[in-house]
Amino acid sequence: MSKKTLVIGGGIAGITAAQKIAQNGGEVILIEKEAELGGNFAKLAFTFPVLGDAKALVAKEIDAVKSAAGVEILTYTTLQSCQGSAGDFTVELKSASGTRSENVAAIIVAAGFHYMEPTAYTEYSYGRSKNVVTSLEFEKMAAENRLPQGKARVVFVHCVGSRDKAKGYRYCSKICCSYSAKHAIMMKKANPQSLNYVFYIDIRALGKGYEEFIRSAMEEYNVRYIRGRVAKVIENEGKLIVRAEDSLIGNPVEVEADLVVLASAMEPPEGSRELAQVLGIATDEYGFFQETEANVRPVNSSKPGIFLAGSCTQPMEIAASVAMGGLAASEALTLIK
Amino acid sequence: MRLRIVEDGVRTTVEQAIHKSLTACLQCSKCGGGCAHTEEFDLTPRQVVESLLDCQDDKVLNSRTIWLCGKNCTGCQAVCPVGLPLNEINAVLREEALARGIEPKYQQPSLVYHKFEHCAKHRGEGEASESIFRGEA
Ligand SMILES: Cc1cc2nc3c(=O)[nH]c(=O)nc-3n(C[C@H](O)[C@H](O)[C@H](O)COP(=O)(O)OP(=O)(O)OC[C@H]3O[C@@H](n4cnc5c(N)ncnc54)[C@H](O)[C@@H]3O)c2cc1C
Ligand code: SF4
Ligand code: SF4
Ligand code: SF4
Repeated sequence: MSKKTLVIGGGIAGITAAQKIAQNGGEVILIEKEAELGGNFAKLAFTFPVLGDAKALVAKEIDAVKSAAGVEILTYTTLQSCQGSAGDFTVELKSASGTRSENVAAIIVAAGFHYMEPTAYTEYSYGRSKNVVTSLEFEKMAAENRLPQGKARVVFVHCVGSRDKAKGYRYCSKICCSYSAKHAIMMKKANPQSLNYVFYIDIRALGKGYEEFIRSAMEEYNVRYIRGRVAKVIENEGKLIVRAEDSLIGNPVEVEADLVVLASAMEPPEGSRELAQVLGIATDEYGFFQETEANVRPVNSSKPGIFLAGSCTQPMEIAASVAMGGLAASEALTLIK
Repeated sequence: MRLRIVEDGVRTTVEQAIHKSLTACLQCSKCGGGCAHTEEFDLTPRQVVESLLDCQDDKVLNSRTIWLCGKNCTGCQAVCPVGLPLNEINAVLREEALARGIEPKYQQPSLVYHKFEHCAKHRGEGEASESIFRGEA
């Protein structure tokens, strides 16, 4: 019987799982549907809560998994079918060169998240104004040195698509409060003349150093936090007018901005329900992969032998994805002994 | 002034009329941020909901807001993350105020609500001003 583990998804969760299995003498087939490993981490410029160089951090992990003995990496590859049970799965992998069949003992699903295109938010002029972008686009702008110059005003909008039963998802995307603070700090560092505003409902930044990070945005980088969900963004002669209510004083307010950044929702990866069907595992009401028990079995899917890691289970930060990758690896290792 | 929080009030009537619980409100204040009439309000739409939740009936029924909120306006409902119909809520409150003998409060008798209610000729105008919100959205 095989002693291999199949890891689906080459983001930081899948990379970590593959590394840990290899370090413990196991064999891994890591499949990634895109051309490169790294997933969404590779699209970031910096990380919170300490501004780390995202590209360098992820490159180091990609190099480590590529040079690990016992890890075979297949890019442009997806899972076609899956039969069998824990310890003895037969999987069919499809890549550009054709399909191939493999026998594996365990499977780790690390398919990550998809970033919502907030096209439903016409009130924010998204898609209509080139100066209204998503936070993921902001990361790209930062990495390519395309942030606004001079005395520019930049407005960061929380909870776009999250905490919105009507047009998005009921859940909170967990980390956008933190990465919006990161973006405001990045903006101020890249352009000290810039004036930065964050509109929030409440600030959710839970983790070691996160509260201090948010406070530093306000106190050291002079980011103005206004409590109220933005109601609309209007484009007027090249300028953007952002309207909201400052709910702490109960008054409508207006800010003229050069750039508006929408913290959109982290949603389940594309095709998650189809992938779940191929594997025979459960998803939740949104399409994230469902764990059997959230407290003590966070990486166990509804089927023995198939484990879950990272943001394909819920919105989460890099550190949590790494932790889940490690735990999923140790669960997989129990099946190859 | 310190408000005394109680549990019985016009809230129940409102919730029955709109077939929704006001507890659905996320306290986000998006409603007030885009309303075309908000500058004339004394309570923001969110403050109306908040005051209703704690049954501050006198405060809400004596406010100007309930009279200025557009009768057929769905501006804030369309963007509210839980779709609370502020226009319906305020309509119920106007009825309740009238039933209690509270005089309508609007500065000029030609404001939107008045146009809608009392003058067929101005109805089109009133509707046009209501649609500013939607037009820009
Ligand atoms: C704007 C923004 C800023 C952020 N900033 C930070 C930050 O500062 N700090 C932080 O800790 N986190 C941050 N994050 C979150 C961070 O991006 C995630 O925590 C991390 O990317 C999750 O890793 P993952 O491996 O679970 O998923 P992903 O990075 O999404 O990787 C999943 C991989 O799986 C592949 N895949 C998907 N489906 C399949 C399939 N069917 N078959 C094969 N391969 C598949 C994908 O192509 C992808 O490569 C940010 C996120 C956003 C949107
Ligand atoms: S993390 Fe913050 S910005 Fe993101 S959905 Fe939750 S509360 Fe809103
Ligand atoms: S927009 Fe809706 S959820 Fe938000 S404060 Fe107003 S009524 Fe409540
Ligand atoms: S219904 Fe219209 S007028 Fe009334 S609070 Fe909402 S946006 Fe303002």
